[in-house]
Amino acid sequence: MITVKDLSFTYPGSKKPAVDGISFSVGKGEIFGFLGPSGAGKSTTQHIVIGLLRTYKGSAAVRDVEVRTCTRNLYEHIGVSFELPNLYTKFTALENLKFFSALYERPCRNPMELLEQVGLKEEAHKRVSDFSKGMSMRLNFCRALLHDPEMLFLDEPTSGLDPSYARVIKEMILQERDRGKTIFLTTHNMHTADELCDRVAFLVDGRIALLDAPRNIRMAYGSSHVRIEYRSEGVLHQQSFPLEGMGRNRDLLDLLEQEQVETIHSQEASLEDVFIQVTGRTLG
Amino acid sequence: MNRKRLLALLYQDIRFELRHGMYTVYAVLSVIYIFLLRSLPETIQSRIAVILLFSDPAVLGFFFIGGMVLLERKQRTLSALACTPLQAGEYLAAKSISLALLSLAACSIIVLAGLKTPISWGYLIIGVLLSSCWVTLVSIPFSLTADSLNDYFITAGGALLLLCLPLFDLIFSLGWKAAYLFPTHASILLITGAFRPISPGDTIYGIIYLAGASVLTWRWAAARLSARVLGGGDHED
Ligand SMILES: Nc1ncnc2c1ncn2[C@@H]1O[C@H](COP(=O)(O)OP(=O)(O)OP(=O)(O)O)[C@@H](O)[C@H]1O
Ligand SMILES: [Mg+2]
Repeated sequence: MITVKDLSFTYPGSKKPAVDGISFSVGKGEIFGFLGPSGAGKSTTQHIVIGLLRTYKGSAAVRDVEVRTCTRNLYEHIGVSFELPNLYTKFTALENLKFFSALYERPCRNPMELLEQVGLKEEAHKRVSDFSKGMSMRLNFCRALLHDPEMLFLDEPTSGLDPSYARVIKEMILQERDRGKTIFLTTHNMHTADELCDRVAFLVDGRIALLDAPRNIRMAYGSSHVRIEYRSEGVLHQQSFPLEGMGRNRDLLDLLEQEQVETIHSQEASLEDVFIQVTGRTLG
Repeated sequence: MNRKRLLALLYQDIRFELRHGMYTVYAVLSVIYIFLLRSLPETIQSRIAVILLFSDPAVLGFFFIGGMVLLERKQRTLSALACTPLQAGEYLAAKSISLALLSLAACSIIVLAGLKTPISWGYLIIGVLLSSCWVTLVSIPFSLTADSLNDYFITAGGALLLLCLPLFDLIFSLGWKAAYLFPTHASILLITGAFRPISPGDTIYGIIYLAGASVLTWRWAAARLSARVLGGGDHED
């Protein structure tokens, strides 16, 4: 559905490219994530792929059409949400959704149902100027789904949301995937990337440092351990042992036999640990 | 151009103008214009009326379209529209039509309430509608690039002031021939035609020149909008 090859882009007047020779492809029914720190080029890549920055080098194709040459009709098929809310503030939530519905040829979803799903039903008749950032972001998200597009491009879909609403949005994204939609999302939150993405690309300074399924990344880079907490002579101790060859590990077996064990946890590297290890940068 | 999208955006723009208080501003100014006209002696009433009726679509249109586009940029709704199938032409048409109708309504009320003498409505309607569309289209590219409302007033205002040179010709009755090169001269002629007969040549010149200028400006504005906001692809499959 999305095929990007050797894509580079430099903003006019800037010396350093914001996107520097990246390649990836996203298949139908896949959630593909861009994980990277601020300024990595995530939003820029999204802008290129949705056809809003056409002076890029290399190739970016959506639905088998090079986006440089695509027509306005593309937007019948893709839904986009940006990292900042972009809504008519003197209009209510429902008025906003109804207006945008009218711009599509294809049948749109019922705006009230969407609002209900993101917990904005009670606020449907409130003007957006009275909304918090989180409420606006949820409304923004509804708008991307409004025309039930085959592909979704979501720039930081859960930023500015409290955990319970972030959960709701994540569930809705997974639901869309299960309905066969293709989803491209950007985030600097490793939990979001880990929970949602079928594959994730680490982006730093406009380059992809690593690209794979989150699970594979954690397995390949993180060494897995068990951490055991035990009490000896009234004092709490903890010790770690490699997961591999655990059953033959004498020290571990002795400990289990002789001490009063309180907790046992298996530990694997988080995406963020791997990110730091691979790129030498934090996600902050 | 898709009718459904155009009508949806037109309805949205009219409500946007209403909610951002543009109709209120127009109503207040119209009342002031009406009192001004009524207080004038009849000998100069129609000449002042031409200036007021020209400045209505021209000057107010310039303020309103600038304010509107800058508000749309601030609320980032332009970037939202860029991600819908909406085309540049539909955007320009909705803005031009909504503001031209507003201007025509205001001018009609000013004429009906402010003047006792009858006028030829055909000239007024065509003159005001065309002038308004042209000013809207000229102003849009400036409002897309201006950094602030001040910046807009300086750049677009400066350009428009130059284009309004024929107003001096009207005020001081200079009979300046080069005025015919300015679309604003065509505006003034057509609006003048509402108050006293103008020659068939002037009528034809006025309509064709102003309409032609609007078409060219339309193309320029559509190209600017497409490049600045819509990313360049401005047509359907
Ligand atoms: N309009 C612009 N003009 C010039 N430079 C820009 C523009 N937008 C972004 N940049 C630069 O391009 C680089 C990539 O920015 P981008 O917004 O794509 O990063 P991001 O990964 O989305 O970051 P964030 O997590 O903060 O949203 C940055 O160095 C940024 O300063
Ligand atoms: Mg970003």
